[in-house]
Amino acid sequence: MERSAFLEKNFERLVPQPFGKRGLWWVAILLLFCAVGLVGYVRQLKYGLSVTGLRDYASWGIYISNFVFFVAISLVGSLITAILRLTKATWSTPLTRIAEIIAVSAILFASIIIIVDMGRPDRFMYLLIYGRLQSPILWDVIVIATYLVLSFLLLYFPLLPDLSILITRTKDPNSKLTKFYRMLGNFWIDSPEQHRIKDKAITILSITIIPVALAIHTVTSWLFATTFRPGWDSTNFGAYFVSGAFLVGAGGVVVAMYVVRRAYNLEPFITEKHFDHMGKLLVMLSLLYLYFNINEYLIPAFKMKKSEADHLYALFTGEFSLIFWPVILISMVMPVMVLLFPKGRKPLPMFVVGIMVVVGAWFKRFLIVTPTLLHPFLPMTDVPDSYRHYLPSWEEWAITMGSLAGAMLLITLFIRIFPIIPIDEVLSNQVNANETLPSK
Amino acid sequence: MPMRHFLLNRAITLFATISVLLVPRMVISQDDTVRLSPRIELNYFQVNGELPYLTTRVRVKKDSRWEPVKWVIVNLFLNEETKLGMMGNATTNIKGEGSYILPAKFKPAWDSLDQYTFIARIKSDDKVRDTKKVITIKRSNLKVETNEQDSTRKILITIQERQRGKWENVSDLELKAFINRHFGKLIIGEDTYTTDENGAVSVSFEASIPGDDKGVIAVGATIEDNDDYGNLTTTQNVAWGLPLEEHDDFFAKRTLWSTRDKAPIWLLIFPNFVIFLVWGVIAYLFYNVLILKRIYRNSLKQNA
Repeated sequence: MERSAFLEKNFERLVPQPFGKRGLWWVAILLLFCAVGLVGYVRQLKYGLSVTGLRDYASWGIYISNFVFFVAISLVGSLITAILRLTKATWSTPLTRIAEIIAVSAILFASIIIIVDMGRPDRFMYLLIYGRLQSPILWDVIVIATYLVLSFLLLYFPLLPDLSILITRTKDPNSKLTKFYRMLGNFWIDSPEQHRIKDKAITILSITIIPVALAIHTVTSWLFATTFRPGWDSTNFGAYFVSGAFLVGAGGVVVAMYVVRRAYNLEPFITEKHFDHMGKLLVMLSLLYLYFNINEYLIPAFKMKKSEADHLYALFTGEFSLIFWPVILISMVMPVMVLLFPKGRKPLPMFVVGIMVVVGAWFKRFLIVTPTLLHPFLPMTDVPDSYRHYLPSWEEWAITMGSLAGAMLLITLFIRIFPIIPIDEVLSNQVNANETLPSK
Repeated sequence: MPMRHFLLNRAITLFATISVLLVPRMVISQDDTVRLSPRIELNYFQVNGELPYLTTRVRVKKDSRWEPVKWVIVNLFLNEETKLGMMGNATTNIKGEGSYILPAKFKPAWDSLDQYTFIARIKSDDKVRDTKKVITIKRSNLKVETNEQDSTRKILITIQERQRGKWENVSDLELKAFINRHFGKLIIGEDTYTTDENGAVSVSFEASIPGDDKGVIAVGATIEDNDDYGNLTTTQNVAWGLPLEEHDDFFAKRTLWSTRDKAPIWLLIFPNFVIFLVWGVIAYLFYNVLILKRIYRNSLKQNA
């Protein structure tokens, strides 16, 4: 089947579709969460951080857990798009746009949530005006801004030919969406010269974004590891964070590809083969993350230094054990056990495993951030009982859930506006491979 | 009938009179149950003979515990509770404390008197009952001098009070000798000394205490919570300390813990190099977008 014939046959399926009833309900629910989050944030702006459960000891709570989660999941852009692209793993092509959209949305909300955690948003300006280059916090600001721009570009360049296809084949040239497409990419004429420049730019981006992606999560881990505290005082933290980020990113893509496939009938493009490959990738990443977890917990537990003991007991048998063990089992051990079997790598089990990985990853970030703060080296003395525990307030939950809903809303809007399957790239791969194009 | 009318009128009048008399009393007594009866503490301070200041502390007893009364205005008077004697007021903070520096306009009165009566008054309002505290302070002069002879260092402290326009020595008065440190007073010698008949105390100084870069330290004497003289403190600078040795200042170097203008050179070079490198690539990619647009414009020209 030739390129044009394929396009003719599948165009309707590949172009962005208006929301159906379920889509509208989905958007309404997300908007509701965002609105409640906004109410919580207005209260926080009005009354300050005292509306949160954050106190002297647990000064980082679910906002920072959420920030680390967003940064982690954003790494998927570099994994699926850059690493698999550079290793010529063409099977991943239909998944690249999903990965890039998740990356951009997540890193945008990571930037937002860190400003929320500052309490007063104007403090961000102080960070830029008075920031010290010696501080890992400033490194994080620099590297997040860089990664955000690179992720946008990695989304934009492969989108150019698709925008051209959408503009030329539109039924309503005067629609707002078509005007928007023209604004973004009316200069694409599909010439070999343009393709050459675009391909070169994508290759440069793929090479550049990998070290930046590794840096973004390594630097985020250094926010913790450069301080001398039980649970954070580790030389392994960079690799530990990066491996966890790849796992949650891959889990996020699996969930998204299942939902998108079902919602837009994209079975010919996102096939069981894709789930199978992603399943194998998830097994590898789960084992890798499990390996780093064993390093992070077993070695300190073996030595059981007094300063570390309280923290470790709190995780293993104490107040955090009901989160710790489910996280290890559900988001790391069980995915390996399920996905090792071919039947476990079918779409539905993969979707369930993806959810387990993503939800587990969020709680894992909470376990990294808060228990350490509640177990300082010097004992807590003469503090109110509420300072010894951390219980997020409803405002914190509302803002956190609102930010998660906001990221999902952004992903949903991207999917509504842009083709979720990279049309031009899928076509090129098919032509290059000289294979029969899939048909329903 | 007229008699019955008369009795009825008398009864109504009596009821109305009792009502008029009782109801406000009931209201007042309800108010009284919520109004506080505070206690005022009034203290006098003078440091190095400068303008004195007063501190106030307002507390109230609740359930056998003293609790601060905040945001209460304490009016302060000198000698008489009149408009002329009104110095000003001090509003209590959340700890129930306030302070007030005596105004310069009272200096003539200040210089002419041998003793002063300070009156603190809280006027009755819906929160507190009328409360008053009076203290009388004798005008005094606490002097500190230093003397060094044959390697023997002594601090000479004298205290005098004003009596009928003359300065008289004060004997049998307890005071403390100290050295000023960053976070308080370091008591030297005995815990307290008592002045002799000349109103004087001599304290030997033998301590090896670090001073500033020239070895200057502030030695002094203090009288605390005295009923007659209040709280007096006088200090005298003297080069009896050990000069602070100039050492290699840790924080003046380029280190990870220094201020932003003292970032280590390697930290300036390496991250900035990476930043310029990566953002150079980003700039090049944006330039590629411009090239794509130029190709489009050229194709338009060719087609035209």
